[in-house]
Amino acid sequence: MRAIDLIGQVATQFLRESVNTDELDGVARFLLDRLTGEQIANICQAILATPDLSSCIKIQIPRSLVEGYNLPEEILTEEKAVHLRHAPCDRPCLLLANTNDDQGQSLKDISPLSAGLLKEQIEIWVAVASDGLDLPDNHKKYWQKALKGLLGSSECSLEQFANYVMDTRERIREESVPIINALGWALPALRLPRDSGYFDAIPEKAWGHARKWQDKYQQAISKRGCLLIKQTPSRQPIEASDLKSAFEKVKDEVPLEAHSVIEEFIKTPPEWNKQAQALTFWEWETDNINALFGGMKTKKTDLYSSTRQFYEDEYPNSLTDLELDYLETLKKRKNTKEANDDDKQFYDTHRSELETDRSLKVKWDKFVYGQPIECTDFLVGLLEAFERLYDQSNLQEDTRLIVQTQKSSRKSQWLDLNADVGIYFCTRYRGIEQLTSPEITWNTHWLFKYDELLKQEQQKNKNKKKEVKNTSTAKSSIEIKFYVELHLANSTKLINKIQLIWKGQPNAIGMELRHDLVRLQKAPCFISQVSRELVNKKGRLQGVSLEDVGTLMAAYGQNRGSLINKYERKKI
Amino acid sequence: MSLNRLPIPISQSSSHRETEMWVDEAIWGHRLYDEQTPWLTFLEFLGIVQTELEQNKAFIEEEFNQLKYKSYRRLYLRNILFNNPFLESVNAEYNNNDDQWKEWLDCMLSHCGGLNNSEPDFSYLQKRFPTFRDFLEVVKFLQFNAIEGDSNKRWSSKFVFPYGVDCLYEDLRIQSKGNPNNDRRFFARTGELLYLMICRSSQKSEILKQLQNIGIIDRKKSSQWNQLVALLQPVESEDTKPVSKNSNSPYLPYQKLDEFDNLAEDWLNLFKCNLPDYDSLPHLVTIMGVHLVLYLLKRSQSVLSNEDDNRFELVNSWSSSDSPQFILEIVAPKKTIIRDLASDTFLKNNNLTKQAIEHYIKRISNWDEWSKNIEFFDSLERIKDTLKREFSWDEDKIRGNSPDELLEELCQQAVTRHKKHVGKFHSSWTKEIGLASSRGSRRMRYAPTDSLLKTLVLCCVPQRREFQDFLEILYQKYGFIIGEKQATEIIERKEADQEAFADNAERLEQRLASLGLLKRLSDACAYVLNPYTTEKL
Repeated sequence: MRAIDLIGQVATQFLRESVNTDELDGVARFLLDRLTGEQIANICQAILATPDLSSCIKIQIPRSLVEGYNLPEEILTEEKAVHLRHAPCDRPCLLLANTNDDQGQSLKDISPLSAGLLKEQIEIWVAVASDGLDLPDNHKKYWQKALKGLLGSSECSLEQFANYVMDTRERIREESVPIINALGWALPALRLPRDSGYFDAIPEKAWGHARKWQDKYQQAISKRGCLLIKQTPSRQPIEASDLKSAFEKVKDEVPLEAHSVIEEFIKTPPEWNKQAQALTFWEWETDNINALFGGMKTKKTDLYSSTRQFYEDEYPNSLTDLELDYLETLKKRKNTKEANDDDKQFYDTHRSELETDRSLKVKWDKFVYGQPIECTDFLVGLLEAFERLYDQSNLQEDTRLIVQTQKSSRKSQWLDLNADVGIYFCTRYRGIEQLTSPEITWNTHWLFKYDELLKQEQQKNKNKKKEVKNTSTAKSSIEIKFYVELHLANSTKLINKIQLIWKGQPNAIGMELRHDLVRLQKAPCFISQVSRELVNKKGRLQGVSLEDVGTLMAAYGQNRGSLINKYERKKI
Repeated sequence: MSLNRLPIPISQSSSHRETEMWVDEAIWGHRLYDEQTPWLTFLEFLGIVQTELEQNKAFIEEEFNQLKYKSYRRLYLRNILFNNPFLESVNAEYNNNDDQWKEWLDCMLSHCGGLNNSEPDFSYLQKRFPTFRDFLEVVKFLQFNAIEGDSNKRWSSKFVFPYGVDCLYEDLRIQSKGNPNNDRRFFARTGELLYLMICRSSQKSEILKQLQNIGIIDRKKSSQWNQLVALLQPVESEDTKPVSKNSNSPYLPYQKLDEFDNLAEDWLNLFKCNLPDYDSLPHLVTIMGVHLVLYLLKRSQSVLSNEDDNRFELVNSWSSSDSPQFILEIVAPKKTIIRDLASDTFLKNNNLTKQAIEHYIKRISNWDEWSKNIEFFDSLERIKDTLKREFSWDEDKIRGNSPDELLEELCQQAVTRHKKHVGKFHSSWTKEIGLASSRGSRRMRYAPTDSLLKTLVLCCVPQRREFQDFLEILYQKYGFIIGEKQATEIIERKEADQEAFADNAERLEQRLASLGLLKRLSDACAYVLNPYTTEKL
């Protein structure tokens, strides 16, 4: 049986159920509404082949519609459907056909037999398709629910629908697989990749719920269907070059026979075509076709494998056996959210090496210190850090605090900082060390001597013409990272550690603080004023914002964002 | 039919500031630009027609691709309208009329842009308006209906509505120091191409007559609105005299194309509707957008079929007689198969230009001279020369150890360049004219807006037209597929049921009826009506 024959059978069955010949009063009229010639011809042939039905249905089909399908002469007509609808009829049922919608309005009252209506006859579809399959009743029910779910999630064409049902049937007939797997196997008929195990994800209890099926079909369409036309689920185009490199990565996982299919697929333009169809015939999961698209995603790596990889690549043979054992245990601990003493010890001994790989360092920092505290006001951040430290440790004994910067004493690390941001921090928070001593120990290297550092550098670069001031506003150049540690007083025992990140805002007011103070020192008593930039770059009015010094106007002897002008003694 | 490309202008073929290679330009001209919206294209076009008309050269192209034209700057007008945020505050702050004028003039002198070289003087305004308040109202009115007025573009890229000759000027970049310069940011030559297209259409004289009739480009037919705008500008000033441009001429590669004639014909159809005042302008802009998108896609198809170059064999799978197709979803309350198909054709068309670029470059390896060159001992040098000659590709950028590698490298660079602007033209313009949208879905698809539908009715329905005929003419003219009769191919491929397309057409019928553009008579016959050309009994 072909899929198109299935449509004929379903229509025949539908008509049989609708025509209750015993109680008929007058003529029942049906219209094959806007179906293709092939479909109509097939339905007619199916009816004619059913003796009990053919005797009570008079069929009148426009000749032009079904030319070339070898239908018997008596059911063809030259007349229009509007003429035939009320012409005398010697049988209890009249079947007409219509594709020409000029008559649509006039034929409205005849019961239409359209593609949509046919698709909805799910019970008939399953009954016809499972004929001779020896399928248990509950499986038939699941099949019905699945089809109902399918119709709820997508509007496929009648032919696609018939093909899907047909392919499912054939799979069950030939391989005797359970209906659940046959439905997944037949997915290519719907332009979705074949995946026999796809519907296994629905728990057995829910096989009778159409809603569950609908969700699954919807998922297949939105997550997998789009990949075949080279779009990501978020509807971004997938480049052929990306697919190519992804394929290179996962080539070994895919069966050898599928390679040529995939290569052809990659070459074609992003639209539905033969090559895409050929790809659907391979099993999505078991043949690892999904790896082709999965290969494009960056692999999520855990801390263990990335650390291991890092040491293999950069510092081979530097880890001791004990440390390697430790890493193995790290691998086994699935819940690596909380760090224990071993972790901290490993981290402390290898901090300097880990620093060379920034992303790995961030991972370790997060693991050992927990989520960092971020602040734009250092004092606020510091208090928050203290609060969290004391809350977590819950101690009665005497304690002391150590604040240290992530940057070591190496000058180059400090020169990576945006110069304005560095100077601002150094000016704004200078003196905090003395104020908090001896309760807090500060290991901050150049942080509070930043002006000195810059001066030294300036001296060094005197001979170079180019100015070497760092003006980068990259994230790493405007952030200063601190570790705040809680220790027992009079001992070196570490109780808890926390990460604190201060973020500079190079566009906000404050970057001129140092220069302003210097000027104020020279002439402490005078009136200063600042002008605002009334009009923005696009020609509109703007207000003043302390977050954006672009709203303030630069003047002679006064940069944007400076609050103290250059003092000039008035000449009298 | 084989098309011949016009020669590349001499100035372009040598190294040229605006183009580092000649690929996009060879196919579509110099140039289609995604960020120049249809309205800005139209304004650029009007500016050219107007200054050319002043010299009696409108739509006369003596030599192909040698267009040199002047344009206006009108910096006084633009400063007043778009770089003048303190107007309201001055009005609120001061009560006395004279104080208001004085304060405002002071602000203006210190803030106006682009007039640095001359001594700016706005005092003529005070003499022309009885009160400051009157002046304020006029400015507010013109700001309100400006083109791109609400956008976040720089003030020198905002335009007063084209009421007449005194409203036309060019896009400029204005810095605090130095002369304003023409950076072609938003007047990026698409308007120049449009001008050349009309120049090369057979109905250009009729178009000129009609444009003159509306009164935009002809000083003799200046409207009251135009006089209002003129009132804001100084008389006899350098600012209101046209300036010559120091740049290359635009390049439109084809001497004659059906697309040019179709565009001109649709414009004439719109003019025939006799819309009052300036009402035809939005329709002219929209339909021009449709035709430029068609031009983009048809040229891509002609490259893919090798029809544009007789050195290569024709590829039959791309027949240029097939126009590009657009499946239009008339937006349905829930997802339908038409929505999917519409977004599939959108995707297909959106990719067409990139495919054309790749084909255009790679087919060179099928050329006889290429295969001959490969056999020489200095093949690499010869190939480099060929690439340089064919695509004006900068020699310094050529890297590769074999002819194939070179070609691959060139192709990649061309695609990267293409993606920046020309590659986005289809999606940004179809969205701009209301042909595509992503309403109710994550995917872009063809789904026409009401205003586009209205434009289409005005262009395709002289008086009235039977609904199915209307669908057929949309298909013939633009390749728009809405109803089932136009979708036979898709239905035969079994991608959708006839019913789905019939429902789509029915939704269009309802939409047109609700717009007052369709009537279903009692004999069940539906007519699409053009409301501006009702039949006289």
